[in-house]
Amino acid sequence: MIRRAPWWFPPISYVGIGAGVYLVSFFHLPPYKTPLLPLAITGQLALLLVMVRVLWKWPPFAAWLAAMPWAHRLVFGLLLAGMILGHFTLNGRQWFPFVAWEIFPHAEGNADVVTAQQFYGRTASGAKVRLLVEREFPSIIQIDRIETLDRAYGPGTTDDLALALAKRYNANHPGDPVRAVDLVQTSVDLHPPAGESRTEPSWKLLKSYDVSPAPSR
Amino acid sequence: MEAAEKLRRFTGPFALIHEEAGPRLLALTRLGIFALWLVKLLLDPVWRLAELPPEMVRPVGVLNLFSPTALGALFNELGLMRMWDCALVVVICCLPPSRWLIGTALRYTLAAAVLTVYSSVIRSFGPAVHTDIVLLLATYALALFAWADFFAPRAPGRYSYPLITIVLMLTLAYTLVGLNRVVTGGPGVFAGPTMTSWAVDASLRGYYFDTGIGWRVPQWPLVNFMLQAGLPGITVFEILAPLCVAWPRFRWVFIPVMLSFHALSLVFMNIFFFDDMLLYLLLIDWSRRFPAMRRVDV
Repeated sequence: MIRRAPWWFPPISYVGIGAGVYLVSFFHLPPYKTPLLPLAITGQLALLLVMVRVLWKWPPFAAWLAAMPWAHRLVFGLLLAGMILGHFTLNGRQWFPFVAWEIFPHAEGNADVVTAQQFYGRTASGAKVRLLVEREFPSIIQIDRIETLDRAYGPGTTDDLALALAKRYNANHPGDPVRAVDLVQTSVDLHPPAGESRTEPSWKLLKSYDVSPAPSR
Repeated sequence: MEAAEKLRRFTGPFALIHEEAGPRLLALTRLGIFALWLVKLLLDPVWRLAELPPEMVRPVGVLNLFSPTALGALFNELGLMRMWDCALVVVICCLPPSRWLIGTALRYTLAAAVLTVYSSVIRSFGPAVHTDIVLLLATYALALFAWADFFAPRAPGRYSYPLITIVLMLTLAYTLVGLNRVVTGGPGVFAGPTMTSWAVDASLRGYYFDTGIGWRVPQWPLVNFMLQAGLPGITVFEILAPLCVAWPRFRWVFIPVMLSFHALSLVFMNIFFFDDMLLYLLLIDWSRRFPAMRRVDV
């Protein structure tokens, strides 16, 4: 007797279509970032449909959904469809909180060195303190990269941010306020020589801001 | 037949999570979600945002519907403080249970609206990051299902509807992240030094949590290997996350694996989704374990 797969199991063709779209999407497109956006979307949608179908056809879930009154079913559908549609807008801002769920999606290519800009403060006692926007302003979960600020928000934004950080730090630490802010570029080699043990990343001073209070007259 | 039996023994039973949930479990979930918002608000001096350069404000979501005058009134110290006060009062009002459907629906809807504005404001100085989005969507679910209860106040499964929807939204978010990474990023994400690069980059940038550890990963070959080898595994778990809705044994693997993943993200990348961690409590089928959490007709 031939035993058939359970009827709610996804047809193997879906997996085939998904794999096909996946292969076409990028296998011939180094360095891995696919410019064929429609295919990337289709690939995700195909794989998502496989999962939705598995759940949809699973008898206990189907029974639960069928027993749901129409108003509840409408809410259920709206929320989940909103999430899926929001994801496929590829837009994180316009339709918030129905956003594109993109967290670390791209390969980083072949860069050997990773760089990032940071702010450091020099306090009245001579201590060096890191000035993080997300710590001085804890409402903010993440700002854009410091090196992109002037390009994204207009020239002078980095300078304004450095001063705002110093002001806020000094309000929180009146006993040992910051007297100068340094904008530095840090870098880390992804392929260091074997056995290397650095205590801090390489860094280069890009700019200094004097935030000493003006002498009183 | 024997293979099928072995497979069945390996997978264990399948059962829809929270299918038997009763009013107590729903009430506890509501309390937990609004208590979480309360803690977040109490820890957040949102009015400080007025000190940031005004040119950095890029309205997110619903704020795009605000007129420039309204935005100006919001993005100053007084406006932000008023918004915070308002959110705090509304969230506190949502904590106690109400006998009246209309009271529940109205309070939760107000909370959803105010928290949407709040969540949009705190994202208006950078990317619309994903932290606490599922928590906000869970608030929407509580509000909208409270309205839906008007139309079927005696539906036997009404306590399970918001709970299963929240679990599905939580796990769907993981699935979309995983699928996006697999399809958009391609094999390079998993084959090259991408994971190392992400850890170093996130560590150099630093966020609220600044452990200062991730940038050292290239110096530690074993840790480097562990992170690179772990990424495909974690991505598989992300994609399969909705199985948590149906497969209890999978949940008992999923929860520790993903908790470890989030802990490692904190250590090496300074990234922590503590709201999602607390929402993991909903991945436990409380009503099957504790009869007090079950609905009476089960």
